[in-house]
Amino acid sequence: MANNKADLLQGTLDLLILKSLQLEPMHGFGISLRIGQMSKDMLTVEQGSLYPALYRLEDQGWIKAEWGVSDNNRKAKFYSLTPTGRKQLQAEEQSWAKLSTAINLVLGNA
Amino acid sequence: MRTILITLMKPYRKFRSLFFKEQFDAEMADEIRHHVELQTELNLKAGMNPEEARFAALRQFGNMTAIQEQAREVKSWVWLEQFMQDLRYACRQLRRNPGFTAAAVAVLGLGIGANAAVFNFVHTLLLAPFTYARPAEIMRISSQDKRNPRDVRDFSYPAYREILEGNTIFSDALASALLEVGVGEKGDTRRAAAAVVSANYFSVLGVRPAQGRTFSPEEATPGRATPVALVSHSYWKKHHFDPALLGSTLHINTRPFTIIGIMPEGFAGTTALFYTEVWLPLGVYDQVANEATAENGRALTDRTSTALMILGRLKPGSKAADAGSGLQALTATLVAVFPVEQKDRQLTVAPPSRFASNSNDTAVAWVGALLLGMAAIVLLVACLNLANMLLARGTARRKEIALRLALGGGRARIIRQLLTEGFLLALIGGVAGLLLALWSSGLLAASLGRMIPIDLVWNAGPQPALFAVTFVLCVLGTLVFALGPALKLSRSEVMVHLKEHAGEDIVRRRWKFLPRNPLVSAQLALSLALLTCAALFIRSATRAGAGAMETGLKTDGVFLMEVDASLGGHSQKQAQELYRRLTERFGALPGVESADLSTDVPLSGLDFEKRVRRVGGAAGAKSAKWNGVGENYFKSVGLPLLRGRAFTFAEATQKEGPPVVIINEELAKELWPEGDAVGQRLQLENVESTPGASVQNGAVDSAAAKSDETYEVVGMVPATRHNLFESAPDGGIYLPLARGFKSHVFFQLKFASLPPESEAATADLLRRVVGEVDATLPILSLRSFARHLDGNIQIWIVRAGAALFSVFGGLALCLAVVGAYGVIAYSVARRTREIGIRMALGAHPATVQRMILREGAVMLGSGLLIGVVLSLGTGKIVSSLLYRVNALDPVAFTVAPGVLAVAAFFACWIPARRATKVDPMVALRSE
Repeated sequence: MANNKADLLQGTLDLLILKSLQLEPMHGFGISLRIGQMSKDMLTVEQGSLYPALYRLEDQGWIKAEWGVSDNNRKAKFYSLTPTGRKQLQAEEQSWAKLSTAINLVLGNA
Repeated sequence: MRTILITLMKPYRKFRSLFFKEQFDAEMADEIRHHVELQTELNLKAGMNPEEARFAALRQFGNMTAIQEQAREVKSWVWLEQFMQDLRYACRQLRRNPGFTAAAVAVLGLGIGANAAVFNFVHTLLLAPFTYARPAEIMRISSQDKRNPRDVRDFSYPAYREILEGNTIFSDALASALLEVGVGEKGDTRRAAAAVVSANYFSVLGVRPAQGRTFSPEEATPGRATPVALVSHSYWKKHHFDPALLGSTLHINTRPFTIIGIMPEGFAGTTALFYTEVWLPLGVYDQVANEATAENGRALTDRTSTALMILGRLKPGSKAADAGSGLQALTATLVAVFPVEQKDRQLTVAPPSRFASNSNDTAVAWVGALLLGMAAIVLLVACLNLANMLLARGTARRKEIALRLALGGGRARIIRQLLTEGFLLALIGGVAGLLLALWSSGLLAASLGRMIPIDLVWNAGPQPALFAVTFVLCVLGTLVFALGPALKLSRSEVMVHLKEHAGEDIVRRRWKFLPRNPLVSAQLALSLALLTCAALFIRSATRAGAGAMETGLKTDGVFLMEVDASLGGHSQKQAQELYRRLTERFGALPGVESADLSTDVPLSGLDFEKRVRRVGGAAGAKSAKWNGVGENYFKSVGLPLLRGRAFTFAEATQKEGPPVVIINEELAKELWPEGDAVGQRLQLENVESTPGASVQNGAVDSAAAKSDETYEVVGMVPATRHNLFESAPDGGIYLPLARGFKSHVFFQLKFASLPPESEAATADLLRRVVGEVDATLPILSLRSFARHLDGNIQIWIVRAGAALFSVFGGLALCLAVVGAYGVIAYSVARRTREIGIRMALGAHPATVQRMILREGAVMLGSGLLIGVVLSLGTGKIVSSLLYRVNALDPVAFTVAPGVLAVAAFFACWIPARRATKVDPMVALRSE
């Protein structure tokens, strides 16, 4: 992928999903839109790969899923953060901050 | 808390999803459809036409099948589903090759079976728990000499009372004395293990009788002599579960006892290896135990007695290590109350011994470890063999595997599949092995049961530990034999193997000088090590079989009768009188050259020790085995007097004369290294004897000799061998029977000739004579000396070991030869075309044969070489445990490699010959 969009770092997808769920429950498509929005379209998630990640997070107990009705009256699965998910988000945000500071330091940008 | 709950829930949800797979798939499909619809709408808004918008949405979503697959993997136990798939496939594969499957199962069954059987044996011997409640809390308390830690004693009854009162460590403590008693009616007495116990024995052990009651404190008070007894479940079983057993009468040493209770099944008393059959209250100790020891037999209440073993149950929550201060206080009390008996001694606590009262468990542990090691090698050989078989078969399956790789199968998946196949084989082999193990353990137990007159605790039946171990062996085995081939086979180069002659044996070897198949070499090496061990064992067994020569006695034509008058209710005085009359009658029988009796015979399994000191000598006391003998003993057993004379009739039957003693050459050399021992004087002191593996008569320290008496040495005889495993004969002394009497004796009758076929008649004759003299005398055994040696437990161990190792060695030999043959035959078969070409181009059959043989020889040679080195190591360990076999036993070290080399040579030669018989044209057209 040789374009000006950044490739997703391994493991960062989880962080992005948790972050996008921070404010309100959302369905899968919404999450992929939100990630695009938040990153001003710099980051795109291959839409399909979102779902295995969602199931994994659900399995770890960080998010939970409930069937509900979407804006346009369709049946959709909504994901929301669990309390442990919130803690996880905090922890991951902190470690990401540390990592990016460190990498910036190495690159001499700081 | 929540996290824990979720963690706990996870497997459950995964497991659920296995069964609700369809529902999960449907939900996922719904979700994805929803996603694509939304994206399509978005695309429409962006101005695409409906068709285009939908395709774009799908494209943006990505590879839907792959993603669903990934999601499923997260969500469910895909590997379990795949495992089931693999298992089904493996079943089909195994069914398709019944010959291969049968061979593999047989090889694995033998390997795993040998291990499971040995484990079962070792488990029973060393690991099986005691049969009472919470065994970890039970500790044995003993009195230890501060200067000589090996001098450990039990207690008298007064000491037991003191310990009970001053004790702060235990919640309660029991006292028990193990005895051998005669059980049954007159003329039909058998030996049984009995425990004379305190009233709290059963409550301390935490066991209740299955029927009836236990002893009251009144009954267990010394001197009360209330004749009541409890019996074991096995005793009840021997009486065919007679419902009237409770309340009936049981004869112990011909005295009637009322059975007041029956213990539950599986309760063996305080020992782990054999069952106590009868329990008696401490109140009857003096009647039951002291008959055998009489004369200087000490009453239970005697302060110098050491008859009572004391076991305590630690207070809940405390450990033996915490007992220190409590023990010190108790030691102080005891020393204050018993200043003489407990002088320079201290109390110690330790877990009770698994075997008899005093034996050490380490020697047995060694043998166990050795057996386990040998069995492990058999399994390793079996696994190597199977790995070879799998590799050879895998070469034929290269094409199939290459096809699967070409169609996109992952390597990991293929490895997993091959491992599943191996595991299935291992499981079937494991079941076969388990059956084999159970069967052989049963045989072993039966054979051991014939040797020993007591009930062994031998759980030969299936038990959880055995199943667990067999399963672990299956898993380990799978890893050893299937992982290597799986890794190798899955590394196929797709294009090469999909081509026509994929099966051909084109081996590009990186290390040309290495043997073509290192696994076969390893297998040969290990097999050789096992074979050598087997040969050493067999050599030892043959030597032990010839052990009659090596006891130092001339026992041709000697008949042996073992009796114990005390078991028939005779006092010591009566017994002596009875024995004298019997000796006279025996001596007068036709064909009998001489007849006499002694308290011990070589390889009886009994050991009576005394400490002997040279009078006036500065040297310390030496320990010596003693034997009380009559005046004709040396003549009867063919032991020549080297110096001096034998005992006279008066010396042998009366205690009044001057004390005399005969010693053996070994002791003479130790005590009087400078010269003649005859005419010198020595002094005896009593020591606690350490009984062997069997229950003793309580007669152990009953020697009539007083420690302050000095004895004149009147004769010297050659040393005899009492113990198969001792490296050199011990010093030994012979006391006249009157001074060293035990009611448990062996009569020796020397016949002019005693053909084996007349043995039964002789036994009948002797039984009739005993019946005429005194019908109440219990005959414990009646057989020729040769048969006595056959029945020796140590000889049994060596012979059983030889049988076991012969089986192991034979197995290893078969496996090695089959393995070598299989691999060579297979590689030759695969090279049929190559050989055809060589021969078509004019190669001579002999040249081709030599080529194949050369390859075999490298394999064989390297295997044997490593094997010899291995054998040197294992031989050293084995020979140290064996009877008179050198680690470098020349016979073992020529026969074992020789047999293996010859067998392996034929394994090479037959395929080589067959290869050159092939018509070149047929060979070229093959495949």
